[in-house]
Amino acid sequence: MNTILNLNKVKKNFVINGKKETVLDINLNVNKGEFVTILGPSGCGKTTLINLIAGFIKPDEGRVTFYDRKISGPHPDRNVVFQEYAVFPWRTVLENVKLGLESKNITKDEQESLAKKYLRLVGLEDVANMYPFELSGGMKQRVAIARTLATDPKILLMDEPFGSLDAQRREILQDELLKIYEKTKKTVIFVTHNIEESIYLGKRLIVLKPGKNSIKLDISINLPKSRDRTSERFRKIEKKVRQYLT
Amino acid sequence: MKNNLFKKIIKTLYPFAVLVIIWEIIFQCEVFPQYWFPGPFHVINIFFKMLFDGSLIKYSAISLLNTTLGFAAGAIFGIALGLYAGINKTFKDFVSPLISLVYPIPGIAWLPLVLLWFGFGYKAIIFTVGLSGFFSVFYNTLIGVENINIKYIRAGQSLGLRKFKLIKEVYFWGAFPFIFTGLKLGYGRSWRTVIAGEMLSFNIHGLGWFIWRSNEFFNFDQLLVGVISIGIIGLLVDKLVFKKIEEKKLKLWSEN
Ligand SMILES: Nc1ncnc2c1ncn2[C@@H]1O[C@H](COP(=O)(O)OP(=O)(O)OP(=O)(O)O)[C@@H](O)[C@H]1O
Ligand SMILES: [Mg+2]
Repeated sequence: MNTILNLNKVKKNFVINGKKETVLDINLNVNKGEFVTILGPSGCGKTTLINLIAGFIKPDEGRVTFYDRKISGPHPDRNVVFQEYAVFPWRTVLENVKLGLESKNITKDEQESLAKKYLRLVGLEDVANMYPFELSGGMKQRVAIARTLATDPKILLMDEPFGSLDAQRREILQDELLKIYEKTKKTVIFVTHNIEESIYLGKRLIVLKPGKNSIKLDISINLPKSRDRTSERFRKIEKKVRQYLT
Repeated sequence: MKNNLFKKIIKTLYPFAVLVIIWEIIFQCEVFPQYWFPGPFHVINIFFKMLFDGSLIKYSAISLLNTTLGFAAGAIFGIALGLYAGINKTFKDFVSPLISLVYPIPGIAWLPLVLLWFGFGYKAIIFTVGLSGFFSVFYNTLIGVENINIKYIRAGQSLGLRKFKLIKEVYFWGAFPFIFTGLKLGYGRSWRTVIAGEMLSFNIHGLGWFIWRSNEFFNFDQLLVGVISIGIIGLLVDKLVFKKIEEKKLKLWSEN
């Protein structure tokens, strides 16, 4: 297997209530094409992990490398779908998706058709010319997903992207995401609070805990491609993961 | 529909009608000598006369031109430096104390000094007008940048936006609601300064100059026409420029 992402003895500290605390303390290798789901209680450092890989923050100790290169800042190769929708309110849906393409070396027509292709993928071609304030939360999040996918990142970083959606919409988007994953063979790191979601989506599941030695559990999930949430094997894994979360 | 429009017009106009009636009563009762206190119908008459003979348009155009040129220059500097200060903390820490000191000074207070530098004329007025507008725009732009949710900046960076493109697409638009407030406040300040500046100058024949000259020639009716015109122009600029932008653009930021 070829490792594309490596976190080597990485530590991140924050001052919380006047006390310096280790928020993240982690060794991690991620292989090309892996779909890694990250679980953990609120405040255990999931977003911090995403921020480190995205290059928004730097580790206090250790090294984060991507394709054997030290990460020095944000890059479209490691694009993020944020926990809160980060869709630009001043741009239409289409303009949002196009923005990441504007700095690429392609013609305006190609930008337009690429952006439209990704909007179709998330089922939003009909609202292309609407502004975010006219959309529901779920639609905004799908715009963010389309915008991130359009830049063709090598690794897709998703921070609780479906956290604020209703159960039905959530399941539809999970299936969409799996389809996109199958099609594009991208590497995905997917943070969630939802145990079922982490098992349904992940090929590998990591449970984080607060403080030192962040990784509490790191397993691969060997379930068939189309997963049945009610199957016995699914439930068994769920039970096990639940034990590690408490 | 038509009926509604009619109601709306009545609703907007009737406070003015009340004002005119009270004004006429004070005039008729000779609370003040009529010579110093012209009646409303006479003033309205002069207003239309000056409107149709083109003189009022000419004075207004000169004032508006001075304001617009000066304000545009001040606003461009205000936005550019405000964005820079919002992004670069070292620069912000350096200019913030200076700006807080200078900000409360009315633009017109600088005019005597500026006149020394540029001499009487358009340059001095326009510079002072620009200075008056600059601070509001600068200050609000800076606050606007500081209030941008970091997720937008990070999203922009992850999309591969660099330097100027990031500043234009994320910092500028992210701060736009604040920038807009700054522009509105700044324009108001600039407009005040232009009138005061023209009052002090003898060779720029805008509304300020016209008011001052009317005063010197004891033409109090014309003086009032000038004063009322200032109000009307301010109202028109607000309705035709700022309100339009507000309706078209600002609603985009009202998330849910
Ligand atoms: N910039 C910061 N400054 C200080 N403390 C921070 C900062 N960012 C995060 N923290 C702290 O680090 C801890 C981990 O935060 P993080 O956002 O990574 O948690 P999380 O696992 O994503 O939580 P949630 O599930 O609620 O999103 C929290 O205690 C948080 O308060
Ligand atoms: Mg988080």
